[in-house]
Amino acid sequence: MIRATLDLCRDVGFQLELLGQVGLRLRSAFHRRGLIADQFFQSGLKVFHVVLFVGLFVGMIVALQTGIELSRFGQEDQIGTIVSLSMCREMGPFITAIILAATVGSALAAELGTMAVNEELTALEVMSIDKVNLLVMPRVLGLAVMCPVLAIVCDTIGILGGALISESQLGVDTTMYFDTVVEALAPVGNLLGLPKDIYTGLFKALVFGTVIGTISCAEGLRARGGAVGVGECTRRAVRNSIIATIIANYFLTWAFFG
Amino acid sequence: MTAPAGEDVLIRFEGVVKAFGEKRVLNGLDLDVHRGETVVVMGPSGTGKSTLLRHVIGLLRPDAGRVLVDGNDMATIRPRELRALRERMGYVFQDAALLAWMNVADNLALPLRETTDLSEREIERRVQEKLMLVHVPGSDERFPSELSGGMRKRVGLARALITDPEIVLYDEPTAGLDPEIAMSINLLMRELRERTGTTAMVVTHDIGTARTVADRIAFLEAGRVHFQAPPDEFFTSDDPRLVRFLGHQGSRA
Repeated sequence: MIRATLDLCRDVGFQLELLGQVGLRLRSAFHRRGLIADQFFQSGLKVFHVVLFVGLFVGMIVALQTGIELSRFGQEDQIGTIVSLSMCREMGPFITAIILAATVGSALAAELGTMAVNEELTALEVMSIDKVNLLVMPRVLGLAVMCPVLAIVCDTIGILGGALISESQLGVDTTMYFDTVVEALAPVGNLLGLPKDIYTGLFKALVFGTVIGTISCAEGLRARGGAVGVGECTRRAVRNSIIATIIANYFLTWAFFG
Repeated sequence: MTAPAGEDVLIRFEGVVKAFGEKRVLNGLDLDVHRGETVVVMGPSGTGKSTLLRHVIGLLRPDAGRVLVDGNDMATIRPRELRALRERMGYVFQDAALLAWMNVADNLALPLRETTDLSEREIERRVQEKLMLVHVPGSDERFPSELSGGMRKRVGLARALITDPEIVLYDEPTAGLDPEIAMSINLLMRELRERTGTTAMVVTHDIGTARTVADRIAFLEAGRVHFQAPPDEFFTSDDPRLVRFLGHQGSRA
C-alpha cells in the first residue's frame, strides 16, 4: 500500500515535471511549427470521423433517454435544452477526451515507448538533443489544441443527432428544438461575453487534451523492456489518461458550477 | 569539476564500480585510452563492456571511482559542460538507433540542426560528405526501415561522425551482421580512424573487429581489466582465461 502510494506520487511528479518542461518550451513552438502541424493532423483529422460517429449517437441516446422520461410529464419540448447542455457541458468534451485517449494517446505512448526501447531516445540524449522540445511539446500541444476543436464538432453533431430523434421519435418540431437549444446556450458568462456552457466545455477539453498528451508521453518516455514494455506503457497511458480525465472533470465542474 | 588525467590520456577509468541492484557489473575497473588511440574492449557477456561506454558519454555515473574524459569528472560534470563534451563525441549504437520517422538525410542532419547554427546548405553538404565517407551515397531519402542491417550500421556511423567528433564510441558495431558485411564495417572503421585521427573505444565480441581496428585490446573479466595488450601480443597470449575465451581463433594471429 505504501509502495503503491509512493509509486503513484513518483508517477504524478514525473508527469507534472514533464508538463512544466513542455510549458517552458512553448516559446519554441513557432520553430517546431512543422511538427506541431503534423500533430494537429494526427490528433485531429485522423480521428475526425470517429468523433462525428460517436458524437451523433451520443446525442441521439441522450435525446431518446431523456425524451422518453420528459414525455411522461408532457415536457418533451424541453429536449433541446437537455441535449445541448449535456453535450456542451459534459458529453462533448468528455467523449472527445475518451476517444483521443484511446486512439491518439495510446499511439503516442506506443510511438515514444518504441523509441525508448530501441534506444532512439538515448541516441537523442547522447547527441545533446532536447527530446522534450523535439518530441513531447509538439505532441502535447497538438492534443491540447485539437481536443477543444473536436469537442466543438462533437457538441454540434450531438445536438443534430438529438434533433433527429426529437423529430422522428418524440414528435418535437425541429424549429422548436433549435429554439430551445439557442435559449439554453444563450446565457453569457464572465469570459468575453461568451456563452458560459460553451466556453467551460471548451476549457475542459483543453485541460483534458493537455492531461492525455502529458500522461501518454510520460508513459512512453519511461517504457522499458522490449515489446512487452511498449504494450505495458500503452495500457498504462490509456488507463491513467481516462482516470485523470475523470478526476479533472469533477474538479472543473465543481469550479465552474459548484 | 576537472582533474588532471595525464597529458595524452583522453579517457581514464579509475577504480570504477557500478552495480545494478545486487549485481556488481564493474568492480574497480582501471583503464586509460590515449588521444588518437583505438582501444577495443572484449570479454564475455555481462562483464560490463557496454556499461563502460555509457560511463564515458555520461549516461551512467559510477557508484565509486572516477571516469575522466579530457579531465572532466563525469560524476560531477555540470549539465552545460556535459552537453558541450557530448558534442565532441559520437556514439554508434548496436542497432544504429536511427529515428524511424525521419529519412536518412534528416537523421544525419538532426544533430546539426538542433545543436548548431549552420545553414541548411552547409548541413546538406556535410550530410552528403558523411554519406560518401561511409559509402552509402544516394540513400538520403530512404527511411531506416528500408535499409539493410549493414546500411543501417553505416548510416548510424555517419550520424555519429556528423559533428566531426574527437572521440567515437562503438557499441557492438558488427553484431548481427554476416561476416562479409562485418568485415566491410571493420575496414570502414579503420579507414575512418586513419582519415580523421579520432580516439575510439570499441566494444565487441567480434575477433575480426579487434584484429582490424585495435591499437590495444582490453579483456574484461568480473568487472575488471583482466588483460590488455596490442593485438599481436593479445592473440598470442598464453593467459589461460584468454585462451579459453578466444578458443581456436586466438592462434591465427
